[in-house]
Amino acid sequence: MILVALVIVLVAVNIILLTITGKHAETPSGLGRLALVIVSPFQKQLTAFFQFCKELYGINTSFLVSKAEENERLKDGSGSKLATAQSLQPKLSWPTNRLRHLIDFEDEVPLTDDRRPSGGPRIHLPGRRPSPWARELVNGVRQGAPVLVPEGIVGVVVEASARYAKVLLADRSQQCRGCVGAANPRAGHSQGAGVPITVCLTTFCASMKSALAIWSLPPAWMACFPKGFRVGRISEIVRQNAGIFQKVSVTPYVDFEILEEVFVVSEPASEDLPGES
Amino acid sequence: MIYGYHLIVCLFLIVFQSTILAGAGPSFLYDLIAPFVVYLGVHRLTREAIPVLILGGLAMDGISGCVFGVHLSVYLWMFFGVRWAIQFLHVGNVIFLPLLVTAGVLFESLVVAFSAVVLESSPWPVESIFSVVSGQMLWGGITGPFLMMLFIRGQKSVDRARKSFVQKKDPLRIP
Repeated sequence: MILVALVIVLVAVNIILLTITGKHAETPSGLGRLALVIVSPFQKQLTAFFQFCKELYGINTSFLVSKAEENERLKDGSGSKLATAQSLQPKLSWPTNRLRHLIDFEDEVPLTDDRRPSGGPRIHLPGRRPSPWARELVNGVRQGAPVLVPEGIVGVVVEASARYAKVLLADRSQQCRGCVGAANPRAGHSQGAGVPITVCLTTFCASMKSALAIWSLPPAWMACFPKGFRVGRISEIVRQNAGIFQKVSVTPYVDFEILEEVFVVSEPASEDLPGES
Repeated sequence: MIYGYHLIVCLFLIVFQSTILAGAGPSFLYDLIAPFVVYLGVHRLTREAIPVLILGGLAMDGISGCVFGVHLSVYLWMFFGVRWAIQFLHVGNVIFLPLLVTAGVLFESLVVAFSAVVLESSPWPVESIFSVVSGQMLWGGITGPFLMMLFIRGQKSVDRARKSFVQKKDPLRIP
């Protein structure tokens, strides 16, 4: 009997503690930051390894097979193309020489003392390389900083350590990836034409406030987004029988499945952010 | 050595399910630590399991978006529930272990869903919970026992390695 009573008391205390922590978006006492510091490097390495294996598999299968087929096809057609090129070569060389003489083309551009060409236009050939933003090292990411992409709002930094940060996404199913058992908010969403919602802090309308309220963020964090960025569109409206409020489902404009690079605004508009000491 | 094995397994499960399995969707992605907790409850002592459960629960609460403390509470309650249940049930039964793993996954899914619906400041729609919980229970019941077999095999390997290490160091000592 005493054991049963003790279990009931413990369950009640547990629920009360969870209710208290559930009212806060950030984790208490920096424990979340510590978990990030420990787990994130392993996540990063495992993700990189998984991507490497995926790329290797793609190269070894589809890419190589397609290239082999292309090689065979080119090999078959190379004989006829070579004959055509050999027959065209004398015809093309004559007008080429004439044009070179006409524009006084020089093979070697003489250099002046400061190692620059003496005249004539220079052409810059852009090299193909990854996005420069991927090489950007951003320091000073702090809690409450807005995270954006050109398509719209991505989320808010809710936890930041020295090299890693946790972002609360607008799509809560992605934000709860590690949260096993969380509900899927997309289940009630229907794709279709809707009313676009745009961040406009000067005219902070009620619909915008309700769209951001699904994140359960403090009001100061809501106010840190720059003006003009889109949030999502209302994909479903549940009209109540009575009352002045309506339930809406907002589908974000950002496709979180293909999200690779984001912009973190390091100096948000609002300076007094919660959670900072 | 067994503490190190438990911590490594726990960290591996957390990293694995939060990176590679993350794209599978919540209906398929049940918490892989739930079978591990059942394994600890059935096969390990309380003093060996509690530190791993606390660290694993805090890590899961830290990296997930759930209410802070949910995973820690679930792991501890599940562990003591399993310890209580094996007093009345036969541990070596073939049907018993899958049932216990399924019950553990169901318990965790229900508690996390309860926290998402009731305890969070902005509650989730109730109707979207049922499919998630049922999918997780199904996948937990199918794959959980195999995970437990892996944990048991790993534990036996660690025990063998420890015994051979001790014997090599001190051949006269009886392990």
